[in-house]
Amino acid sequence: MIELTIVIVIIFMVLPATFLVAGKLYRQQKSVIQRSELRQSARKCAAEIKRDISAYKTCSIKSDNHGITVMSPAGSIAYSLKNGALIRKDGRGEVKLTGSDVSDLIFAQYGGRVVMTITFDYYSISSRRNEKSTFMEAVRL
Amino acid sequence: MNISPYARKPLKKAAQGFTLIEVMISIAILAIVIPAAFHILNSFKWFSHEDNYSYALFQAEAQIDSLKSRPFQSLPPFVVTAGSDGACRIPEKHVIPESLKIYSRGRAVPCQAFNKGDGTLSVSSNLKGKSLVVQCKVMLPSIEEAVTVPDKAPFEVRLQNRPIRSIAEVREVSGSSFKALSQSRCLSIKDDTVTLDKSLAGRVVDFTYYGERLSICMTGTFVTDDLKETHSQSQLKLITIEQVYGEKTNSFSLTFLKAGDR
Repeated sequence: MIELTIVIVIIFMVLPATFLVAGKLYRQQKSVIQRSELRQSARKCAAEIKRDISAYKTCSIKSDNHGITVMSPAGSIAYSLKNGALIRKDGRGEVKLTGSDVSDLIFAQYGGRVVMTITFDYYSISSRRNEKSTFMEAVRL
Repeated sequence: MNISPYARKPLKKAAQGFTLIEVMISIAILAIVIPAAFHILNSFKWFSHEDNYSYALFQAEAQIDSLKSRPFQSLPPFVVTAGSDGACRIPEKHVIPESLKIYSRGRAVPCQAFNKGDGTLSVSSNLKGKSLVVQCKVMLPSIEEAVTVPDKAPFEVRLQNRPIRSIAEVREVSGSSFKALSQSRCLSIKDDTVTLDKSLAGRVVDFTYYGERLSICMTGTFVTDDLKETHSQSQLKLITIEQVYGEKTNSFSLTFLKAGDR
């Protein structure tokens, strides 16, 4: 009888802690995946813009700093925010480069460098609330 | 039959304990679970490190670009002339006092006092009118960080290099131009957020500031043409930028040549 009591007490002590740790690990792992995906998305967009800028050389930042236009021989290519997504618009139409979770997009020119700052809004499983994640990428060096 | 008093009695089933195979299985399970848990924990550490590394790399590129546009004399080591009372001023506010080394004609001389606030240092009055080479470590701020001030109250923005230690410069960004703003328009600075004046709502603001997540230092020495360190003035400076984030350190060096001397 005493052995059974000890076993039950141990189970009651160990099981909640185990579930808590397992839950925390799971949420952290999900959070890591979320942030990695966002970073990947930011880098992908920056690479796309960098490719256009290095191909056509001339670009101008919008007066409100929330977009950039690259001048190509076939017309202009504009990168801007539309319905919470970063879009690339050229003569052929527009393409969504991110999901609809972009809350802010800034282009700023520092000397010769053009820096893109992109902020994503996402529900963090780790902290269980909405959070913002910002990434800065140089699109022209 | 003669039975020894030390002979073992057979155990009852309930008192038998674990068999060898049960213990082996338990140890095998633990051997799999514990390293797996450590691996998962380490991967989280790696991730936060990776996050900081990306930011440090971005800052490194930005700092190199910014240093290239600085005049040669504003990079360490500084060349100053001691006044009549042995006092002189170095053109940099964010010097780490412990790193100060002063040389006169290639020989080390002691620093008697250093005022961190205005960058004034004192040496022996025997050195008045002498040219001194001041080697030191200078803190560099985080740069090229633009944020949009929200349209609605509270007009708070969150910066990357947090907690924020101090703000050096705030500028309003409009297209490709920057307009310096008075620091009084930053109403309060908390750990990672800055509350701005209502009039900046919806505007893009750029910050130059010092934070704790990533600390950036710059040191410099004069070098000869064959890149050997010298404590005397020369036309070449070797600048080393050191970034510290968490337990990690990045360090890289650049050489600067005085314009018009070659």
